[in-house]
Amino acid sequence: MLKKAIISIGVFILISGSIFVIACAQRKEKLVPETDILGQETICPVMGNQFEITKYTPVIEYKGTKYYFCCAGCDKDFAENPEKYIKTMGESPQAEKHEENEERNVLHWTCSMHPEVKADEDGNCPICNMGLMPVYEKNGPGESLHLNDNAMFLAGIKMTPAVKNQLYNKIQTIGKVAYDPELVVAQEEYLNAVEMMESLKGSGNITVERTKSVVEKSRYKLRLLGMDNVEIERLKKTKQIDRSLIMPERETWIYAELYESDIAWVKKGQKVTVTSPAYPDKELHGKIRSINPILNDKTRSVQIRICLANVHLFLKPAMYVDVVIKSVYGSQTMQKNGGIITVPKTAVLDTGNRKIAWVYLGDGRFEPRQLKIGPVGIVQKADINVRSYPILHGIEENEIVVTNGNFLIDSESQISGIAALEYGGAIGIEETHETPGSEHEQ
Amino acid sequence: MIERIIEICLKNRLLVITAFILIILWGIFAMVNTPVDAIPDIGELQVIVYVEWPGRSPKDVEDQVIYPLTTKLMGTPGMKTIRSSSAFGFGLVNLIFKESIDFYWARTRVLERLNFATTDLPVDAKVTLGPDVTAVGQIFWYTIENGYYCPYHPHQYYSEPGTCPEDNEDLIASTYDLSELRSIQDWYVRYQLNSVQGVSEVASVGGFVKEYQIDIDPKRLIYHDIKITELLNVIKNSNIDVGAKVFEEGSIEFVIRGLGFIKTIEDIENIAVHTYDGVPVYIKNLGNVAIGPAFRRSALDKVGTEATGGVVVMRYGENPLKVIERLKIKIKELEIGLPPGVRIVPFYDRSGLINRTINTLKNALTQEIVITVIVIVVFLLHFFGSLIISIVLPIGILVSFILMRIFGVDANIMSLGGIAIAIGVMVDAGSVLVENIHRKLAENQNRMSEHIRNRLEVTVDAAKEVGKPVFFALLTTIVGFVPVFALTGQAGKLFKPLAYTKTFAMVGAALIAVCLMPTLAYFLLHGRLKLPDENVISRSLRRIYRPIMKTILDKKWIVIAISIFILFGGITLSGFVKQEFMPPLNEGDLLFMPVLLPGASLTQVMEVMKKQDIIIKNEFPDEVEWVVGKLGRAETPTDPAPITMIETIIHLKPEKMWRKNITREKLIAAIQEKTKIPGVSPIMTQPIRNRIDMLATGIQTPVGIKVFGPDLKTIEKIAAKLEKIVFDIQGVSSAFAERTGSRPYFEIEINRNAIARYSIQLQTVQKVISMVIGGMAVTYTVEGRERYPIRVRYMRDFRDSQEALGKIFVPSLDGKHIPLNLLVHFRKTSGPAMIQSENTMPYFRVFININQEKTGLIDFVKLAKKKVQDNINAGKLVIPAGYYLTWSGQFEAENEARKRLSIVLPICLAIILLILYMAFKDSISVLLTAIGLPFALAGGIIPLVILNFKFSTAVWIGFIALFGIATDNAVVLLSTLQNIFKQKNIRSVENVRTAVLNAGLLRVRPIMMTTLTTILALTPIMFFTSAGSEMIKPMASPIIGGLITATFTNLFLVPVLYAWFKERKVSRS
Repeated sequence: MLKKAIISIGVFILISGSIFVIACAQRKEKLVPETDILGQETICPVMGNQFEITKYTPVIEYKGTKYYFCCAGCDKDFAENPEKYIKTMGESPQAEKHEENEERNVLHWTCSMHPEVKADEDGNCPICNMGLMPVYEKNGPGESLHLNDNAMFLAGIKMTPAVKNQLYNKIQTIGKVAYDPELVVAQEEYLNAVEMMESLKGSGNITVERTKSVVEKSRYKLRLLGMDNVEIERLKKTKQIDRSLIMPERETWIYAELYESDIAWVKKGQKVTVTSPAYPDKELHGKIRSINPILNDKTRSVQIRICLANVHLFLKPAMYVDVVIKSVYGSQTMQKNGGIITVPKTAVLDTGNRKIAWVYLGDGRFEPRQLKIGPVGIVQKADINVRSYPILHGIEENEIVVTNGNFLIDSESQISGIAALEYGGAIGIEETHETPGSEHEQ
Repeated sequence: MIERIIEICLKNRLLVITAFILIILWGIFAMVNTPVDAIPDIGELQVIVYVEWPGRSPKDVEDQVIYPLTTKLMGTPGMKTIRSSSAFGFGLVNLIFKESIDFYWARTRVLERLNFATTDLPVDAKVTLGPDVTAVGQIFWYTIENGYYCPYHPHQYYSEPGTCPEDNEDLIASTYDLSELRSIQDWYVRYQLNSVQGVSEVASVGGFVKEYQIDIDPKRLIYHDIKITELLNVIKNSNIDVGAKVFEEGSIEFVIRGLGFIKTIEDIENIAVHTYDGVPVYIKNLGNVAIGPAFRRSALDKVGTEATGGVVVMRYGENPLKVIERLKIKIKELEIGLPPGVRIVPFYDRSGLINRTINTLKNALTQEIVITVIVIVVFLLHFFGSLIISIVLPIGILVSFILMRIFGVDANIMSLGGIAIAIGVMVDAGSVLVENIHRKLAENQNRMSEHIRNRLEVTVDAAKEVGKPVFFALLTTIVGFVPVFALTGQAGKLFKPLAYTKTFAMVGAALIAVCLMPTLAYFLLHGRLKLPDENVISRSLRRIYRPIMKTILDKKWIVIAISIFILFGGITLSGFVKQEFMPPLNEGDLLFMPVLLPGASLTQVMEVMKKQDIIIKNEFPDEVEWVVGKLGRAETPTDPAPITMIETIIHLKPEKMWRKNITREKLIAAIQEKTKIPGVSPIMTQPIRNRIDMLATGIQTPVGIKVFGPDLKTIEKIAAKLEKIVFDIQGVSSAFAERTGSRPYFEIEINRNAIARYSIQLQTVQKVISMVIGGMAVTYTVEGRERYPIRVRYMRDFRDSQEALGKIFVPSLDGKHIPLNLLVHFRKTSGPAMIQSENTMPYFRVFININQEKTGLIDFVKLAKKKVQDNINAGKLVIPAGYYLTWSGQFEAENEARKRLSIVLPICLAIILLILYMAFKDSISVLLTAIGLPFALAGGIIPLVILNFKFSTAVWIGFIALFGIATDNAVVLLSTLQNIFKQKNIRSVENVRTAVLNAGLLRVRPIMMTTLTTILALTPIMFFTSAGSEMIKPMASPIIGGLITATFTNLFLVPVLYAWFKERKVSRS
């Protein structure tokens, strides 16, 4: 009996003793790097990356050699299977690097909903209690964003090259088929006066002078009613009044209204497209003949006079029409050189803070660009109108820009911290100070 | 007193048995009717006031509604704080009440206040008191889907194409579009499900709300010289039904109605806006009228296909299992009325989880009871004796259910867990009592032949003899658990139910032990009763115990050395255990929550959600049953999610169907890896946990600073500075200031000079902006039960860019049409995605994590406060007038808990010591009892290290429970020792040792019995893997480990030390 008792006590002591020993042994294993090697650079046998030895660097002594590890956790991995890591250490570090980015150094942990959270270790977000995610260390500052093929597919990324295009501005306005008896009367008066003047050629001075002043006055009236000098000269030459102003004719006039903000875009002689609610399928083309010198106070608009062919006499005087004026962006020389570099409107992330476009550099790399852009316009590509921005600065010709999925790329750059270094992201605010997490590392 | 009660009970046996039969019946009734949920609601007691102001920016909502509202809600009685958040189109005011206040009382107070608080708010801002629900109220989600049906049996629906089983006819697919399905949801299903008892609210989500859309061509307005404001009025005035009393004809009375509600598109098209010379201008001359989808803030997706559905929110305090049961019956009834092929398909159903957790606990309880009974049978080797002891368990559980119902404690994993950890202890009292009666009766039997009259006396005596110590032991157990009630905050909410039920169970056990057990023993302990010596188990126990005791009584250093060794081992090991708040409950379903940055458009988020859902379903066909994603919020105040937040419920198949080598953790990692989309963060959480987190407000870190002030930019700056200042203080492991999540705004700033020049009122411009660009509902159609909005807007091309917006016409007082760009300044800018404030003041938080090994929280806060003040004094940190800082965080709760504990703990300890002293009337015995505690603690740590558990609150609860139990056996043993030493006159060291040995031999059977019941009862729990076991395991493991060492100390160390004291006394004299 005594034997049994002693055995059971012995077993008990053995168990508790071994637990104690293990506990103590684990404590002892915690080596600390010697002070003389602090600050030296070495390669972590587990991660395969270069890092600086600090006094917190984990150390393991194995077969007489000391191994240093970039972070806690590596040393445990190493302790489990030291041979494997010593072997891979001998091989080229390239092979190790190929193993996905999970092996990269974690810079800090952040919450995707609250990117300001930068914690040293994994845990929950203090604001929303969601799990944190790692932000990996970058190889160097200004690194572009890298996505693999699958990620690009999932993000639905579409791209297009930025090329030179003729950029149009489209002004939509309303007009009426002219019904303007007043102008017809004025034209008649003018022609009469001119006729009289011609018939009086060579007669007495006073009558000539008087007729001349009548011509001048009626000419002035025509100007006020919207005709410009060229038209008046033509009227004088052809001696044809515009009957279309009171009755449908082969050639008819459209009076369209232009708002103040659009006046700058419109020049005499520009082509316009006219459609009518009465004939929604018909598209008529005309030319701007003159721009009224006076702004209509009632409508706050300027009248422009458009002349167009009314082949089947579709348009009846006083009928409402919609007028579209296309004007080309940029100077004459620019237009001759093939236009200006444009990118589709969807390529630009304009949030008021800054205007960002993402440029594809090949190999799954993307780079953000801050842009200077002009007013939005239209580029015609094979019958499709693409709303586009002219690029004043930021993108070179033939660079490839992202037109779809760029919000996701931009978000990714903000979450991963690349944006903070470069530009703060299209939506994010600029980071004016370093992250506390990185400060703490020193 | 205890003795008197025992005596009275024994003398009124019939009464006692009748009373207990009644208690059993009552208990069964209580058990069936107790509300059952998976986990207790750990959210704060809050009342939500919900403000809906469609289409308004967070800034507008904050300035015009939330701020005035919160100012007037301040001072609501019983309220702790008021927090609010303003987001796009809605705002939430969370009024947080003191814990002691009744939920409905608080709601009534808020309602009183709302009565006048809403007076000055904009007319179209709808302020409502949120439903009477809590965060965990969302118990049931469903979709309304197209399916297949047989043309001849349309009431039967099928989810797969095929043929009808009745007549082999090919099935036809139903083809209802999203707006039709949404109409079915909104007008048929929703209100019917809402009528189910216990349902507080049914909210729709996803799909499209049907609306009549009048798209105006601005050019035509100009042609016909019609003002947009005029148009709106005309539409408003064209939609009304009236009544005109009655007229009589003959003797018949006719009710007169004037009919004028808009019913069709034609009705709208033919509204005349104006006439020129008798020629009317109709709405159809000015634009198109069509039925289309309304502006939406949510979408549902089922594996890549858009869907529509709803969420059922349960009323506060209801029984979710019962409510879901009733819901399912109601759905069956409703299905008859659904169009052919359309079905209601649940995609989240809480009852599965509840049943699983309750099953886990049921299994645990049954196994515990069985094991306990087996242990008792083995030790007692007497059928009826075992029966009497075992009867404590069912009746004790029923008693605790009665008390749960009285105290309003719900059945859930924590409260049932409380019973689970009590089971082993519950039988202790009964064991000692019955053992004593059994022994006395057996002894009695051996002495006399005739004993009918004496049986009662013997029983009374035997019961009285141990009644008091047993009762005291139970009392220490109960009192020992009282500190759990001092817990506050989330931990308190989580563990109080457990503390309640454990206490209830112990009270029940005490009641049964004192009242019922002696009676039953009297009736049932018949026949030939064996003396302890004749029992195989007790004999072998003694055979082992005797030689060990003999040896160690001679060589006391052995046992002392081992004890010290255990103590130090435990202390050393404790350094390896990590800390955590609470082990998470495995809810079964996963909630995948990808989040995009604020500013992402609904289309973009939708695209991400669809792709991810398809990947999850297709890549994991063996593991995933279905995936339903939701973006944005369901139309309920309990769901504050912005549209950039996707919540995808992944319903998993049972684990046995999974591919090999796949665990839950691996699956989560694999899903996150496969669905990795740039710019989208894959957060994986669980449905209930997420709901609690989403509605939680305040600071979750140990320490936090709140910066209050009127201007968001300024407080953001101050917070950022504080972050830097605080970070340098020793002991800080991380600190970060909250930033506003900014989102793009497009601001239209009205130029007052310009509108004056064109003689336009500002109100007119704003009306045009909100109507023409935003497209507000002008009026609603009334079509039977259904109501649909009619809204007016410019045609899409004329309002979808800055250029187009510039050409929106604003009518001036003198009849001109002025384009908007002459009147306003357009600006793209970024602004807050959400504005949060507390006690009416906007605030930003600085979150500080502390390394609590380096510095204590309270000390840290003192130091940090001083440092911040120094900075302010030095002018490095400028706090402008109107701004201030407060310190907050978990340390407040810790402070509170400390304050409470510093009162409660000493009192509890004092009470326990007092009880012990009352039992012993001897300070050495009290001291020896207390000596067991540190060894129990040390023993409790060992299984934690082995099983790799962290120090969570659950583990602490386990320790607290352990302390109550660990001393019990010491009490029993010491009282025996005392009795023996009192009875015999002991003069020599030899005599002391023999006496101690005898006492030990006498008590080794009950001690081993009570310990083994507890340890073995808890053991099966350690092997559980089913839902809910992860919450109970950490609680059980310190009890098991601690009891093992405590038994060692009780059986060996305590008698040895006692012997040592006595020997010294003897040798001195």
